[in-house]
Amino acid sequence: MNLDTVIFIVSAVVAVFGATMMIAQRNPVASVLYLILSLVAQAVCYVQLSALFLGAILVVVYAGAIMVLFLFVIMLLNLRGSEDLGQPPKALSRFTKYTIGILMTLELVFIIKGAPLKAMATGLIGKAPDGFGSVEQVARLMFTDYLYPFELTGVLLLIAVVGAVVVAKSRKPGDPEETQTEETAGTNTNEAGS
Amino acid sequence: MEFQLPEINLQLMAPEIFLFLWALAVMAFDVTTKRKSSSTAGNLALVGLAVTGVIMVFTDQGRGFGNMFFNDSMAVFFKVIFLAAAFMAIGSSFGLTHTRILNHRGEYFGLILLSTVGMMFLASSSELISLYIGLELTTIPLFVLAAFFKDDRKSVEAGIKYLVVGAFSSALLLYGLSFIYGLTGTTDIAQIRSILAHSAVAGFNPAYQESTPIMVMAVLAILGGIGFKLALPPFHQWVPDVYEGAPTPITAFLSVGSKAAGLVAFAKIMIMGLYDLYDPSKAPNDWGILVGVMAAAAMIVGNVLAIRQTNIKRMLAYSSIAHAGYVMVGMLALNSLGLASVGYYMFAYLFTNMGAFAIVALIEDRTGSCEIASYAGLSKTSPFLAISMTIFLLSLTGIPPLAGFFGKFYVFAAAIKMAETGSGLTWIYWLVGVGLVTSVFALYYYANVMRTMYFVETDSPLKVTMSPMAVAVIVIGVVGVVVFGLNPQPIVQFASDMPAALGALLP
Amino acid sequence: MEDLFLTIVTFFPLLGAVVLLFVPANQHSTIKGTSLIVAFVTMLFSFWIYNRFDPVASGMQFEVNLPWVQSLGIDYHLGIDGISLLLIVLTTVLTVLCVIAAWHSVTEGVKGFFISMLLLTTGMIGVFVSLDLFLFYVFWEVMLVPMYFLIGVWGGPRRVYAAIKFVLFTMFGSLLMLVALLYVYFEYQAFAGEYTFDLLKIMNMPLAYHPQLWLFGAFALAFAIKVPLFPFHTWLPDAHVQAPTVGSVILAGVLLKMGTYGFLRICMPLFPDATIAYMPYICILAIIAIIYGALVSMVQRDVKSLVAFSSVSHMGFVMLGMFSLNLQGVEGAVLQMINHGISTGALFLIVGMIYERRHTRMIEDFGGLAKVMPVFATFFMIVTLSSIGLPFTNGFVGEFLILLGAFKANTWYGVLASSGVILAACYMLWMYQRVVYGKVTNPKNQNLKDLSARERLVLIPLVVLIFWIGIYPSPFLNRIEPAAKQVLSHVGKASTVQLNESYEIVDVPVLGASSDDAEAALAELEGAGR
Repeated sequence: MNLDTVIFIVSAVVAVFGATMMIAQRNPVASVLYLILSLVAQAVCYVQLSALFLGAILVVVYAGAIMVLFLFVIMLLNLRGSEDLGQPPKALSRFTKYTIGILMTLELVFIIKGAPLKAMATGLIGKAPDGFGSVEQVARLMFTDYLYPFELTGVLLLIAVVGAVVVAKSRKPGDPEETQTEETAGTNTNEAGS
Repeated sequence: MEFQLPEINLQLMAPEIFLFLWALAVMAFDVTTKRKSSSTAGNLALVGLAVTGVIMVFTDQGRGFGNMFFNDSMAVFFKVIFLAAAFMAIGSSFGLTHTRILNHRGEYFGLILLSTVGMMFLASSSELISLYIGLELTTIPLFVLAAFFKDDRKSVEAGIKYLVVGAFSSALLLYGLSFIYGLTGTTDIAQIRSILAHSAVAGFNPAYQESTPIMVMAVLAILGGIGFKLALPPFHQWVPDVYEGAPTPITAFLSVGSKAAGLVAFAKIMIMGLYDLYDPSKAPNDWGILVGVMAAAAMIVGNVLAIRQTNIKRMLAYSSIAHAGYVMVGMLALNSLGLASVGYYMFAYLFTNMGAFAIVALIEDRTGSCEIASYAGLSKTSPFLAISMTIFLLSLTGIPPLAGFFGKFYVFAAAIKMAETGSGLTWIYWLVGVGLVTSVFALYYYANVMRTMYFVETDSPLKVTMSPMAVAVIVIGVVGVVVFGLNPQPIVQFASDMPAALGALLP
Repeated sequence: MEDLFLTIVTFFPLLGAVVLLFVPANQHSTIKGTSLIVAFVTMLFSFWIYNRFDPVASGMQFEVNLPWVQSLGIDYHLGIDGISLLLIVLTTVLTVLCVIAAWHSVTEGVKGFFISMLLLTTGMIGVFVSLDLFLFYVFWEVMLVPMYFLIGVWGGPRRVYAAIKFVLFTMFGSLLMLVALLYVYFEYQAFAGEYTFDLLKIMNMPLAYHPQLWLFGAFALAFAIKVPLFPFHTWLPDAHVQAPTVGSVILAGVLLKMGTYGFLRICMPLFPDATIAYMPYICILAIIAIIYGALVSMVQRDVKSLVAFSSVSHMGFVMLGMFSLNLQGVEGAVLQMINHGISTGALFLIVGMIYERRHTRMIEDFGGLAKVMPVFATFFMIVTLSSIGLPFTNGFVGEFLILLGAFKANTWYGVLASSGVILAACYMLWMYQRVVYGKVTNPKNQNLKDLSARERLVLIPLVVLIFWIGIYPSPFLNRIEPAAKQVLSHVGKASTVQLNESYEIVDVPVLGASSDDAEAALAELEGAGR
């Protein structure tokens, strides 16, 4: 067991732990912090796979920027302590949830146990070539061979922005009743105008 | 360092690019004009779709961006379906524009167009990453659209449910795709197929002996992900709630456009990419059987649960689950009829379902009710709507000479042909049998709506005022259902080009 | 020009229905007039075809064969032989009579009613003229829809239940047929390398024994539900009793015939081995239907359901005749299809006429109608006797030929089936006696009006046909014979053992007559009857 393996196991365990705790927490701030932990651990895995650039991006963009933004939003919305997550789920749905969860875990264990673990560790590709995962390599692929998906992602982001605006904008302060009356009023003025 | 750009051939993407820009223009227009006229945005969107159609006629088939964009006959066929579905969804939205989506009319129509663009990109991608992004482009606008009535709890619930389910299924799909990439080292669908067929990789033995556990996991994840999009059991539970809550035209668009997009994704990944695993006539045909079981479950669950529904949108939701099952029967037939029958089925389903939902939307908008019981006496007050609805329901049931019948016939024909060609495929007969028996259930609940419209007396019959655009959509639906039912030849011809897109792998 | 005949007669009613769509719903007389003209012209077309039909030639006549869905080998292939010819004429005649009969009885939703009628006519004629299996299936299903509405909208109190039951039963059967049809289609492709649904081509394909059994089963189930053969008859009484008069007439007169026609046209020629294998079972079911139908009729209190159950019995005769697999049996069966259409149609019309006057159909509410309505009683008498099968009426010729065939196939079949004739006499005459004779016990019956001119106009053609077929059936039998021989020769080809047997029977002179012509035998018999 060399050092690489040890680092991998530790970071993998931390990543899964972080993800699990993120779901389990009822406090949104704690959730976000656990997610950051998980992302950092994942970044370590990327670095181990020689994907330096990807690892860096993960830390800088996700763990750094997006999660901090999340924290800001949570603070601004003033969600302190445990959120009211509505009624506890019914017994039946809880039962199905756990059953499916356990079954899927068992399946995963079964599959991984059956898999040739050694073959998986080295993989098909074997040792990464020189310069693999560097900024140049990634950029070259992204702007030549994978230009098309890259452009599509741009479209996707635009759509997401529009969608976010639509969802967020008319969520006016006040109860739903008020919103409704406002909209009806809008209809009337519009009809009067036309 | 020198950059070698692949051959881009941007002109092949002309329809997509145009529609994308047009969608932005529609949204921008609505913001800048202070909403002077209530239906301008919608009209603009319709014009955009029509122009896109025209551009598509003049666009060649071929490859762009290296191999990543491939405008083949399958892509063209499904793009026609997407455009028509968007057209009819927008047409039947006109009734809603006055009251409920007033503040975001431009975004509403723009998002429908953007979703259509996503479907079109999906249909012409020949590579896993762009396929995945195309799927996301399709669904993300739909999340927003499903939750568009923000004063309506059900609509918001539908949006959130769809968002959660959609995100989960996308993640599942991506997980599976990443395994495929890891095993084959490529994201190109054609290359994946040839690698699986010719060289031994960690995941799959080309002697068709057995898939390794990692491949099992990959395919399960992919089937799960697409199963969610297609609403195949056991991944169907989200459908009734989302269909019921979403604005009716969006429900219609979901049931036709989004489903067709899911079918394209399925055909690309499972048939074109993982052909050697999927082909039911190959020795270990577990995946074929698994898909068959899902299809049978869809037909049974959809049709049986639809019987109990009192809300017409929920009923049509369950019926759409059942129809997904029928389509998958055609998907199992890997022969010259299979994909063509799927194409025809979706074409018939397009006219039928969009038309039916247009009527539901109209009635919901005027009366606020989606209960089947409130349709009582419709034949007296509005014979046009009653007759049109009857035609759509009969087509959904599969009564000749309507398009829905020919679709069902074609799908079953393809499946039986498949069953006859290979040994060990007798289970396909059982599948067809399930399809037939459940069709009788389907008849029961569709006939129930007809019964309510025609036979049930009521003191307060429904009074519906028509809007010209909704009438136009309904008429398009009726004409499509009747004409393509009586004369299916053009569509069959059009659809028959598709199996060629699968390459030389078909007998 | 000749090519167009069948297309015109099939689609002319549809054209009429389309025209009716554009007539405002409140102009009742225009709607009724248009439908009458359309139905009448259709009838004239069918007479024209009857006239031009060559009775001697075997094989299909007036054939049209155009590609419809080329890529799948679906053709628009029409053609008729003697069997379909007579059924088409029956359909068009009954349609005209039904339009006249519905003149006053339909008051609500007049437009929809007549549109449904005309659509139904197109569907029915279409079934009888299609020679392409796909086309056949299309017409077969098409007529479900107008029938659903005829029963469901204009029917009796439990109409909705009856309509849905009718449609579910039929649909279940026809879907099985669809699968069998597809199987045959691909088998033929494997056999001849060509995709086609053409019945005449597929007939020549040899099929292995076991697939034949399955395929025959699937088709037969669809047809047996329609006939309806015991034990698939349970939808029939409901549908008949709840349907409006005109619906019952069409249902009994034509729709049931589609089942037996399907057996003749598709099951027998396509699956000859299976036909022979299934023959005893179907014959036994048919005999059960004959006796069961008769016994149940006897205990009915409602005249209409009595007639409905008598249909089960009569259709049992038709099935028995067909599956005797000899010329007499098949000819008799085809003739009996026509006869049943005429006499049961007339019975339903008559029941409808008294129902319109009294709004009840219970036997105990009547009595002594002969005194109040002498004309009505006369018509009723003639039709009743025809239904029983009295000599000189049409029923006799058909049933006699069928029994002859049945005796030849197996003596026991004949013996058991004959008991059905006796039972028929019992329940029909008993019913007639209770309704028409005796004293007028119910004061409400005192002032009933006798038949109007319109009602007489409806019944007279049927009575004429009853006597015509009863006294001089040879024009009909002549036309049936080549077609019947054709069907039998297909069955005969199947198995050499059975072939000899059946041909022996065919060739044996009937009742000592020197020719094998059934007509001669009949003439002989009529002499004996005198």
